[in-house]
Amino acid sequence: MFTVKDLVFKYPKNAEDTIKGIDFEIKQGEIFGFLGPSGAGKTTTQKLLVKLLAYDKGEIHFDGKDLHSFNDVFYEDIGVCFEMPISFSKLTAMENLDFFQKLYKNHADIQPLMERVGLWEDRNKLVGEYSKGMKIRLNLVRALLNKPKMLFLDEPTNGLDPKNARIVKDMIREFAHNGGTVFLTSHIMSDVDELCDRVAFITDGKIEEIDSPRNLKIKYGQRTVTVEYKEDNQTHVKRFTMDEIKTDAFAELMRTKEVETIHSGETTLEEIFIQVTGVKLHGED
Amino acid sequence: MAKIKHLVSGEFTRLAKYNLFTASLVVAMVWVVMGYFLELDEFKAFLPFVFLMETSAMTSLLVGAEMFYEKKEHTISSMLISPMTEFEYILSKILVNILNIAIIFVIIGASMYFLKAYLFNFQWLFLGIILVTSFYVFIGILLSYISKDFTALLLNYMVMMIVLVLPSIGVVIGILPESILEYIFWSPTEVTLRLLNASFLDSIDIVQYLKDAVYIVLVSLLMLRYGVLPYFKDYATKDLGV
Repeated sequence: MFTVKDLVFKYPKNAEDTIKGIDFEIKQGEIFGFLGPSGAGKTTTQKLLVKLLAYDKGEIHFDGKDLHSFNDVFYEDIGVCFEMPISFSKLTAMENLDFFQKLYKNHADIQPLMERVGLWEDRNKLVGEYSKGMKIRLNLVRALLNKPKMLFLDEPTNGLDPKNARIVKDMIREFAHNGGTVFLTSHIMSDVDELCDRVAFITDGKIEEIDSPRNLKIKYGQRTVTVEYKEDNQTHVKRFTMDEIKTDAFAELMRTKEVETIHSGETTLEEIFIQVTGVKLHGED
Repeated sequence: MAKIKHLVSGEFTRLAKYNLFTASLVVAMVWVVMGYFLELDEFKAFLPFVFLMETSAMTSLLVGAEMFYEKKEHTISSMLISPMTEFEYILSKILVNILNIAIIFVIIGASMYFLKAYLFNFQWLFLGIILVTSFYVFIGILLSYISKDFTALLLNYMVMMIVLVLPSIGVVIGILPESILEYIFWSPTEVTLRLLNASFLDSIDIVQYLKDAVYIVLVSLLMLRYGVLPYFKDYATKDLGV
């Protein structure tokens, strides 16, 4: 769907390049996570992909064609879900959606989308009276108004309660299942892990890693199993390598001790994020 | 064309919902009330002031305020990721303001007709509005580009008024000598006055009118090309997470 080759970008006022020659591909039907600390170039890359910024060096291809060759028709095929509310506060939700939808040729049916995100009952309320969570859900409906082939999602579950976050995640998964492609950025690593087929980590304008969450966990995790067991009223911990679990020592422990927990040495995406980018997720920078 | 029509209609709806159109109407009513109390000759002498305030000051302020709201609510960014060009967006603003000013002037003109049995030359008036509105729409857009918040917008607007509008108004209301006219002859506000005054003057200097028309259109095009368009996306997406 998107192919990016040796992309370089510098803001006119900056001395240094913000994007320093990145390469990646987003395949049709996949959910592609794009992760990185603030200031790493994540936002700039997204702006370049949605043509909000123009690039001089490198290549971006969308649907096999140079992105430069697209005019505003490009936006018929994409939907962008912003992190912050993007609606006219003194218009109702339906007035907002009606205004934006009429800018497109393709029109999705608004009612099922609004019902799905739980806003149909409040469709005639002024958006200014919506809660933050409602505005974020409305953003997703806005992004889907034109039946896009590709969705850009920026922190789509940020500010949502677990029930609504689940609905939004289900909708994203269904969108991809039906052939849509998703470019997702989020700091909620459990969401990224749950949704993304592949993820890329960008740091200081360069892509450090691209792979599936599973492969990354194998690469960055430890091939060990840690067993906690009780003996003499005390908890003991013993670690085995993956090869050692085939030995009698492991089987013996399992058979003879009171095992409390068993953990594989698989790491989390959060740990990988910290390791790759060198930045902690909470209180980053 | 359908898209422009939709954008214009959307702009008008928002002007009404954000009470900007109401504010514009209230100002028009002030002129109507003044017209009621003044003699016809007095009001005719006052008309250039009304024209200038409506086309320049009101238009720039309305556009600046609209842009401020659209930036604050990020709707301008949402429009930029829709199948429409920046030019279409700006054109819709120009058309809405032409219509807005035309409505205001029709109200003032109609009140003058019924109160004083005086009729403007509406063809010249509308032509004048069409020629000058873009310039003040662009001023409003540029003001929003350089203003960090609404207070800064109002301050910049005041500076614009003092530099651009006040000299012409000063002459119209007699607080500045007419001798300064030779220095501000090609000031956009003076050109605006000459173009709009054609709607109530007994005779028109066609050559000067054409020169003024070409001048204001050229200045507007230069502003669009070198001031408005190059910085539009940057302004619209500066605070955008995506």
